[in-house]
This record gives sequence, C-alpha cells and structure tokens, in this order.
Amino acid sequence: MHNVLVIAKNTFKEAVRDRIFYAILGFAVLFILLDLFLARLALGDPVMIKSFGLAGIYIFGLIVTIFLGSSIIYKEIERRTLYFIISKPVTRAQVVLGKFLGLFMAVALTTVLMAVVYIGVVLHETSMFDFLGLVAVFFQLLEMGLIVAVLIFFSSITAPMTATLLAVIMVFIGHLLGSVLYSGEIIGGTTYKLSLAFYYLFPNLEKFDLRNLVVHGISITPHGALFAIAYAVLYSGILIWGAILLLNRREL
Amino acid sequence: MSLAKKILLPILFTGIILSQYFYDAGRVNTKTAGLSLPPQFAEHLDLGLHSALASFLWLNTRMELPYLPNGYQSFFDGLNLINTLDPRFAEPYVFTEIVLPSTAYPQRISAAVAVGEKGVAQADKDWQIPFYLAAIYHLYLRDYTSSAKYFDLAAQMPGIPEVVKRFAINYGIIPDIRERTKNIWLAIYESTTDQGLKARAKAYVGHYNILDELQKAVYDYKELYGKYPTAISDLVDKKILKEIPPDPFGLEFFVYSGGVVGIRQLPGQGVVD
Amino acid sequence: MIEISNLSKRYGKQVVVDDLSLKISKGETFGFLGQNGAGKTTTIKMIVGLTRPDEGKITIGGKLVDDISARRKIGFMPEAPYFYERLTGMEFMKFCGDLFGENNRSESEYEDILKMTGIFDAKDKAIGKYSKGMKQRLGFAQTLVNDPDYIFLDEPLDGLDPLGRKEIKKIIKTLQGNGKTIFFNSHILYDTEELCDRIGIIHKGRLLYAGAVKEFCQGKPLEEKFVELVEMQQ
Repeated sequence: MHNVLVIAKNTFKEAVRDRIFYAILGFAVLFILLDLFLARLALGDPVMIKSFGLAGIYIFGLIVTIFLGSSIIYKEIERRTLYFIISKPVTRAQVVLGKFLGLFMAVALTTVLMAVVYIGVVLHETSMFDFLGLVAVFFQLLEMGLIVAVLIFFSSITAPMTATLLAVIMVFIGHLLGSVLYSGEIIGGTTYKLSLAFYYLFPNLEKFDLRNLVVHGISITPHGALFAIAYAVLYSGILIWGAILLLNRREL
Repeated sequence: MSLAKKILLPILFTGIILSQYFYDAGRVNTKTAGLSLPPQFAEHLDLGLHSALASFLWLNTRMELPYLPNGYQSFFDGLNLINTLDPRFAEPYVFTEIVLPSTAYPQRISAAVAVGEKGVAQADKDWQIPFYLAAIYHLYLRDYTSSAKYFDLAAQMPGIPEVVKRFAINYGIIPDIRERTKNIWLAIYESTTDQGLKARAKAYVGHYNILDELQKAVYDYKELYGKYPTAISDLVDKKILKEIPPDPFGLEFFVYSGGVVGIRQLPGQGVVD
Repeated sequence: MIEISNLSKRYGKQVVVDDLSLKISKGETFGFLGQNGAGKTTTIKMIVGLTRPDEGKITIGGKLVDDISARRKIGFMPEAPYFYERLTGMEFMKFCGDLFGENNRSESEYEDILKMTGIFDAKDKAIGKYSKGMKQRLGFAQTLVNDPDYIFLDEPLDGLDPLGRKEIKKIIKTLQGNGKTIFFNSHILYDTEELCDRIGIIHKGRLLYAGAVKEFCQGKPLEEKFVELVEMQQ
C-alpha cells in the first residue's frame, strides 16, 4: 500500500547515499574485475572463472546487506526519526514493511550491478552468456531477502553491533545445518533430535546456494525452486511479523 | 612541508621496505605449512562456496606438484580437499593425470590412474579425463583393453577436438601397438595447450617415426639380402639408408632377432621401443 | 478540542505522569510548562500516539488518539529532532507529506512552508549539513505539511538564536490567527508569556496549575511565579 512504498522509497534513498555503500560497491566491482585476472591464472577454465565471480557477488552482497540492515530499525528508534513517522497516520506494520522493502531494493540494486559486470567478464573470457549464473543470482536475492528480514527482526530488539553479530552467526549456521543434521544422524539419540530441531527452526540457507551446481552447468529442479521460494517468503514473513509485533509493544 | 619532514618521510618509508626485505631474506627455507584442512572443516566454514574455495585452493595446490617445495603428501592432501569440496571440478584431475607420471613420485602411475578413475566417476564430462587415463594405461601399463575402453569413453564426450576424436575412435582398430602409441602422442601433440607436454609429444612422435623408418629399412634389407641385418649400422653400410637419423631422446637403436627394431631388450618383456 | 482525562504513566516504579486532566479548546494556544524531567515530553508523546498511557484517555476533535485517523489533522514536532542526514530538506518535506496520501500538497506549497520557516535556501542541501537552528526550523516546517488543525510542539524554541526565536514566534502567531489549536512544551518561560492564552504547569508528573496566564502571574513575571510555585512543592 501507499505508505509502505513511501517509506520504502525513503529508506532506499537513505541507504544508497551512504558513502560506505559506494565503497563496498566499488570493492565488489573490483573483485569481479579481479576475476579477469584470475581467468588468466585459471587458463580460461570456465569453472574457475564462474566460481570466483559468483562467490564475489555473494560475499559482497552479504557485506552490503548486513552492514546496511543492522542499523536500520535501531537507528530509527535511537535517533527518533521514527517520531516523525509514527505521529502521522502510519501504522507500525507499514513502517516495518517499508523498511524491509527499501532495504531489499538497495541490496537488489547492488546485486544486479555486480551481476551485470560478472556476465560481462564471463562473456569476455568464454564467449558464453552465463544464463545459469543469473539463475544463481536470483536465488541469492531470495537468500538476501531472508537475511534482511532477520536483520530487521534483530535490530528491533538489540543494538546494531549485536544485531550484526547475530546475523553473521545466522548466516554461517544457515549453511552448516546440512552437515549438522548429517553428524546428528550418525551420533543418534538426543543429539539427533536436537540437530533435527535446529535444522528446521534456524533459517536454512543451503537451498538458495546454486553456485556449486551452476558452474558445472547444472540447474535447480522446478520442485526445488518452488519450495525454495516458498521457504524464503514464509520465513521472511514470520520474521517481519515478529518485528511488527515487537515494534507495536515498544515504548517510543 | 619543512625540509626535515621531506627527508624524514622517504627515509621512514625506505626503512619499512628494507625491514621487510631483510626479514624475508633471513627466513631460510622455512617449511611453510601446506593446506591441510580436514575437508569437513573447510566445508563448514566456507558459507557454501564450495566450488569457489576448491578453485582457489587449486590455484595454490597445482603449483606444488611440479616444484615439490613440500613433498607429495601436501599435494595429495590438497587434491583430496579440493575433490571433496567440488567433486565435479575437472581441471585438477586432468592436470594430475598429465603431470604426475613425469614426476619422481614412487607410485606415480598407480596414483595417476586412481585420480583418473575418480575423475571419470565424479567429474564434469571433460574429454581430457578419460583421454589421459587411457594414455596412461597404454603407455605405462600396456593395458590395451583398459586404454581402449577409456579412449572410447573420451570419444563420446562433448568438446573433444575432431582430430583427437578420430584418433580415439580408430584406436582399437589399428593392430600395431607401436602405431597406436605413436598416434596417442600425435593426438596429445595436436590437442594440448601445455607447451611442455606438446614438446614431449613432438619428440615421441619423431622417435616413433624414426622407428618406423628403420623398421621399413630392415624389411627392405631382408628383401634384398634374404636375411635381417645384425646391427643398425648395416643399413647404412649396405646403402639402404643414407644415415641413421638422430633420436629426439638421444637413444641408440638396435636390431634384435626377428628383425625387430628397438632401443633395448628386456628379458621376458620383449623389445622396448 | 483536546481532552485529556486522568492520564497516568509509569516507567517501572517511577511515576512520570500522575493523574493528569486537561481540556484545551479549539483555537487556543496552550503552553505546557515545567522543569526538565517533569513529564512534559511523555505527556505530549502520549497525546500524539507515540507512547501508550497506563491509565486515562485522550481525545482530539472527539476521536480517541489510538485511532490512526485522528493523526490526519495533527502535526507534531519532537524535541531536538534527528533527521535522515542524507535527504535534502525538500525531500524530507515531501516524504512527510506523502505519508498523508498521494496528492497532499504541491511542491510550491512545500516551498512556501520552507520560506515561512526561513530554510528555503537550503531546501536542496542534505540535512546532515544543516545547523542546529536549521534542523529546528525543519522540524517545525514538517508539522505543517498536512495543514493540521492541531499542532503539537515539543520545545520549539530550543537551540534557536534570538532572531530565530522571533521568527518562530511570529509563525506561531500567524498560525494562531488562522485558528489553529497549538499545544507546546517549554522550559523557557519568558518567551511563553506573550504566546499563550492558557498555560499548564506540571511538576513531577502532577498538574499544579491550569488556566489563564494573567491570572497566574498577577502582575509579576511568569518565571518568578513559576519558581515560587515549584519551590513551594519542595
């Protein structure tokens, strides 16, 4: 609805004008151009070129997301910019949704820019348009959306430093859960039950990682794609809902 | 800026560079730890970026094989880690198959074969993996059945250059083993971008061409004189050949009983070419 | 009319607002006076819906303040406001205005507000570059984006130099002339005298006085009477 878009646009503007945003973006583009250099070392092996390129987009996407997102809500509360908004006919739900959308758009913009540079590099080195690479980037966006939701949730409760730390830990755990479950299966007993609980409760990010497949020319199945999208939407939805509830309760 | 500062700044800067230089110079042959992460550990920490990490590690690990700064174990540890992280990554298998047989590693042939077999099973369909595996079977193990199988496999893979494909298809058809061997080296010469390997292949092809030439000369001699020559020099003395061509490897040629040309005879193994 | 009935708020064991009741008529300018920490800001936050009272209720123009539609006709200026540093003044005005709907105001109307508050020249500069005084004025400007009937100002003259205070007081007088209802907090008393119809004095959460200024002052300066009243409470 209207207010959500107004707040989203505002959040987006504020985010993309951050000087550090530009710095990170600059580094990201640099990294991908570095891929050109690595292409020399790799003797033109497309697997290596694509691996490094997509990894770069992922790592820098994460950095931008976590850096911008961790202070988003907390800054509003701490710096009382929220006072201007909430004293107008705006619900707290609209605020949270607007913040989410605005931040996600900023992250999406960086990701798309990096992807364009990446496609150019791969085209130049291998004369092939890496369509599967774009598919991988799309699913990366889903993952980033989920992480933005995590950040918004955390930054409704804690200071930016803590929110950042928690989000970083979540990301690592999110990629570990498969191995944790596997080890749990081997050990059995309570450990298994615990690992199963973790597996389902924590944000499980492995499903959005198509990089290892895509560099070998393998894509995701429609079945996998459907459930990955559903997971991202549902989990983000719960986190945003939680953030709204927290903001509703909060003393301003 | 005052004069003192103008002088001081460059001096400090030079001092920094010199300290680094002398520090490095003093580090005589310290054994730098090879990359020996247990694979599970690496897999957990890499945020799912398995193929990128495998590629990155490969850039380091492949330098270890030809130059042996840390011994072979460190290379094999690295290779194992890379294969675990990204089993489909083809380049490490190919590189190992090509380079390992020419190193001094005691079990180089069986290890190369093991790597090749693993690559055929796990990696992306890269024609070079079965191709070089087949070459190893033929050249080092004289297992012509296995080599035929793998050349056939290579011929069916996408991306195989025409000349190599033709060779691979015809491999089993040619009865003469020596002819097959020469063709393998010819195919390698045509297809490889590795300059060292290309030079070696060229030398082998030259070597086999000379053997063929000498062999034909021996049969001509038999035609003319009713018996085989006893020494290679007979071919020149009796004016069949103008001269014995020099071998690219600098080896000497001999004629053995039955008129077979070769470089030496091993008991129980026949004539070696 | 603004009607506050039996308003109370506690933070933990600390009672910040204690059974406060007030009526402010339409078109009135009401000055809410008190020491720092007396409960002024908490009260105003409860009126505009930022904070929920523990007890009591507030209506503005007959609507309960919980109702979001009540906020369509109010403007609020927080104390020592912070802004989005990277937006320009004009962008901020538009942002605030857009929250009231698509076609709240035209660009020239926002420009008029900025001119009135004396920051028109900086409209395209990033707010991060504004001085404290300029930010204060921008805070005031955004209360007017929706042409509200009720205007709530928390320490509007804070951080302004004498010229700035004169200008803001002039604007308040213009708004009074337009029939707006104005409620403002202040701990600076000598400026308040000339602006207010009625005042309320709050001390440690309790209302000590609500009524006409002249009645309270009885010929003496407001500040003097105020200090007298507060010291009596100790």
